[in-house]
Amino acid sequence: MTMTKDGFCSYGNAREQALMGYLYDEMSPDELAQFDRHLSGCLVCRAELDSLTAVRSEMGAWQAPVPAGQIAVRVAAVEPAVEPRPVLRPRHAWQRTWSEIPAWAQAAAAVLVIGASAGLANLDVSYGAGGLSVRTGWRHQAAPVAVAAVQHEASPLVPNPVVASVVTDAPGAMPVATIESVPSAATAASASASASDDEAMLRRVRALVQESEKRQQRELALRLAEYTRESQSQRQADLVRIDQTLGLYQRNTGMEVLRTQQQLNSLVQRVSEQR
Amino acid sequence: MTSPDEDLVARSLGGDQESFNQLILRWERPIYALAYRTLGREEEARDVCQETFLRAYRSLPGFRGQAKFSSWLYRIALNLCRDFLRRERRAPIVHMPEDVDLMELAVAAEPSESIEDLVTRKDLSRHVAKAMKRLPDEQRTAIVLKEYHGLTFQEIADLQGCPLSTVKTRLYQGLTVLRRELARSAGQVA
Repeated sequence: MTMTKDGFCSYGNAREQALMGYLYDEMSPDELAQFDRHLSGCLVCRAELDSLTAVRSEMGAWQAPVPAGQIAVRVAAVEPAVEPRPVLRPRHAWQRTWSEIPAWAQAAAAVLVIGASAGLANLDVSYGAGGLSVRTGWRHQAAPVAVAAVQHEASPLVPNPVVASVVTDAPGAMPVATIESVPSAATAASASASASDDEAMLRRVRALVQESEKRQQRELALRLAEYTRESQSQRQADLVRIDQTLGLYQRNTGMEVLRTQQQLNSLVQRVSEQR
Repeated sequence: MTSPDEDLVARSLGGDQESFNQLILRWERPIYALAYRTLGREEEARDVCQETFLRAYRSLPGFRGQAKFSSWLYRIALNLCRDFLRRERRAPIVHMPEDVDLMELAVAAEPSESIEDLVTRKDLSRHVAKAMKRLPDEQRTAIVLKEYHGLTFQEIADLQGCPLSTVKTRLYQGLTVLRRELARSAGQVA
């Protein structure tokens, strides 16, 4: 017996689990056979299954809107490629050696190279009233000629900043600024990656802004359409109400006229009888 | 012949962007629908969909293939929806009613569907959406994943991080609330 006299199911605690398994057809054959047997004698469970099936059927009406066009921006337009996994191919010995050196050691080597270059260029750094002077070359002149100097008005409140002058008075000597601006291979790669990241980010931001603008325009158009529709339906409702009210007044007036005519008739009848 | 997700993932990992775009094409609508039914708003659903693929693309090297690619995407999208709902509860946003436009109605009409049927379907759709909003997040998510995405109890349990029996209980309780709410809506209409 699966249903008590007072209409309650006696399947036990596993009833909800069994109902869901049956409803969504996810039961083992044994469970299915057992619950089938129960269902054949339980009106409560059968009724509940019917009502839950009806709910599922109604839920089918809830469709997600289908947006026009693509929803997600494609990766090529916004992002750099996923860092590809390294392709294994034979490399030169020096490449292998360099790649095996840790990054800190590579950076230290770069600093050493720059230092050595500065030494070879006979770097002369001096600090005076005119600011910081950096001089390169083997031949000294009496007064250094500033090629690029930033003049700063001395102020008693603001400390005078260091003014750097790069002097190139040795024939064939390379300006230090130029030397420093020559990046090491690692720096160049990092700078180019960073520039690429920036560009990708910029492209992505632009794409998102455009996307957002389009959405806002669409939203605005929808709101306007909705507003128009609502005002039209409101107008229709008002017209119907006015029509009904006028009809009511007309009916009332007609009744009033009828009643007055009846009273007049009755009066005329009485007067004629008295005569 | 279409490539399985796993092949496209492998090619994307090799740097082939077009393969990832194919994955987007294949999954953007289900992910959008999931977000829409979880959040109830088109704009946010679109944002969540966009962000899901962006995150997936960035995290692709970390995808080990232990779960299905679709399950992985669902997980990302559900996490984003959950974050969104949390933010919204902290600082509620007043939304304009997102009703259905007549033009959209006309576009949505199935060729064989009369305008009366269409209006009835739209009404029912609105009632279902309204009733779904009354459900707790876990129940709503379980129902959406089961009813509209056809996931198994076990897949839902994995995504929600709960036992399988809890999924069934959430479904049962959710459907029971929906039944009551839909009956109430029908009563009001009548």
